[in-house]
Amino acid sequence: MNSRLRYQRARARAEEQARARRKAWIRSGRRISRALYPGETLNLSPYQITLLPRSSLIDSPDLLIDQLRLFRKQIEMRRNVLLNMRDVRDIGSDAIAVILACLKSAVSRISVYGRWPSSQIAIAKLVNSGFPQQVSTRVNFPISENAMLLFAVDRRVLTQKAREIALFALRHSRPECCDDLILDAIAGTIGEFMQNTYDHAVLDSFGQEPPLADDRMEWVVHAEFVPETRVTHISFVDLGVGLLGSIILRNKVLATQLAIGMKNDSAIVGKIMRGEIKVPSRTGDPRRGVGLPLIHKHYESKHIGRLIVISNRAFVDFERAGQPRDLRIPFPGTFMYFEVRPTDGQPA
Amino acid sequence: MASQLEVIYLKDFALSPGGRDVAGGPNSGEQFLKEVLEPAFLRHRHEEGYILVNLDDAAPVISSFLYASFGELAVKYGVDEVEKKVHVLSTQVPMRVTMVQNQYDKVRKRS
Repeated sequence: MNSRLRYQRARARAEEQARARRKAWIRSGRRISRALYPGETLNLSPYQITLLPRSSLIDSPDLLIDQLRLFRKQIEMRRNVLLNMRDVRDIGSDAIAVILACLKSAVSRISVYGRWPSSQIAIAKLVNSGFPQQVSTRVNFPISENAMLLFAVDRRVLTQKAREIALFALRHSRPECCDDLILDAIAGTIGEFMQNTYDHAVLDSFGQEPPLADDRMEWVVHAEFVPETRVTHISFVDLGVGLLGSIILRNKVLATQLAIGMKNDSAIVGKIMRGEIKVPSRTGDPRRGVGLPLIHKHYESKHIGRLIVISNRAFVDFERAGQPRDLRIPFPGTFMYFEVRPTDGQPA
Repeated sequence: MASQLEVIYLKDFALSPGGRDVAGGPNSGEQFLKEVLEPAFLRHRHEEGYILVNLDDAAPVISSFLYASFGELAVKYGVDEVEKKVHVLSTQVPMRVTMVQNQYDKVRKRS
């Protein structure tokens, strides 16, 4: 018997055993998704998710988060997805970052198919953001020099990557500037969020199991330079438990007190970022918990521009004054966005 | 015999110092404490000399790094002794010196 025939028979035997195990699992009445193995998907047609003509997490968060929620639900069910962007006419850098984060988290679990937008403006935006480089395409798009995407697979604090993003932003938006304060502010903001994400991961092992714990990707940093405005848009996406989700795990009593004292989640997150609420750490050490207020200090010093934090139901745009409002649908994790503008900070 | 002044450049340890602990990633504050700061402190502990840590030319230096290095040293050996022996300098980002001082202040308040 030649080796090819032996291989085919062994494979057929393994597949038969897998089918038998799967049938037994389904008969046992447990959740069907648990019967599937990594990479194995339900034999159904892809679930179609249609992006709206104007997709932006900042301008219309509820609509995009609703689609994001659907997307993650399909991942949990191990059902393939068709991402239909045909109607998209305008798409923000923030939305692209979140979509890329979802796509990265879906790798090796489901297959994601896509339809490109019919609008040339939307395609140009996607190309500038480096989106085609992160997915398989039939058409060869030009490689974008104006975008950078970094991600970690195990929630580690990789400050070297934060520095790379900061240097990228400075090189594009402020080429004449070599201010260490601004370099430290940009890289420090990303670094503080990386540490925050890592702390949540550690914390979850003491609380409940984090959602989608077997995701390959844990955080994504996306930077995009828009030549027309000379602004670099930086988005940090962590599809974990989120700031308030983490607080609830950390200290349910405190969460209750905050809920009683304040009307909405956005106000709580705003106060945490401004340092007006001191969040006790898991260890109870008062020396910890200074990272988020430090980010707000960078923003106040105008070393970074337009700081926006979205976490669970909270949506805080520090540039827009007024009563913060909560999201209708909670964001699954934390999203942080800021800009590096040519005129921010101290004069070059 | 240790010299009177020992200057430690953070950039020699890492151009991008990491986070809090070793498990969290490379070049962490815990690693800096074990490999650089604590040995230097112990060399000068019973001498007249002192240590100057230059935080310039490294970025970013996040709060967790300072917590796990300078803060933990102060907790372990006493804030007064550490403050007397370990001095911090940053001309590029003066806020870092304030952040280290805040760590010392919080340790003092706690003890």
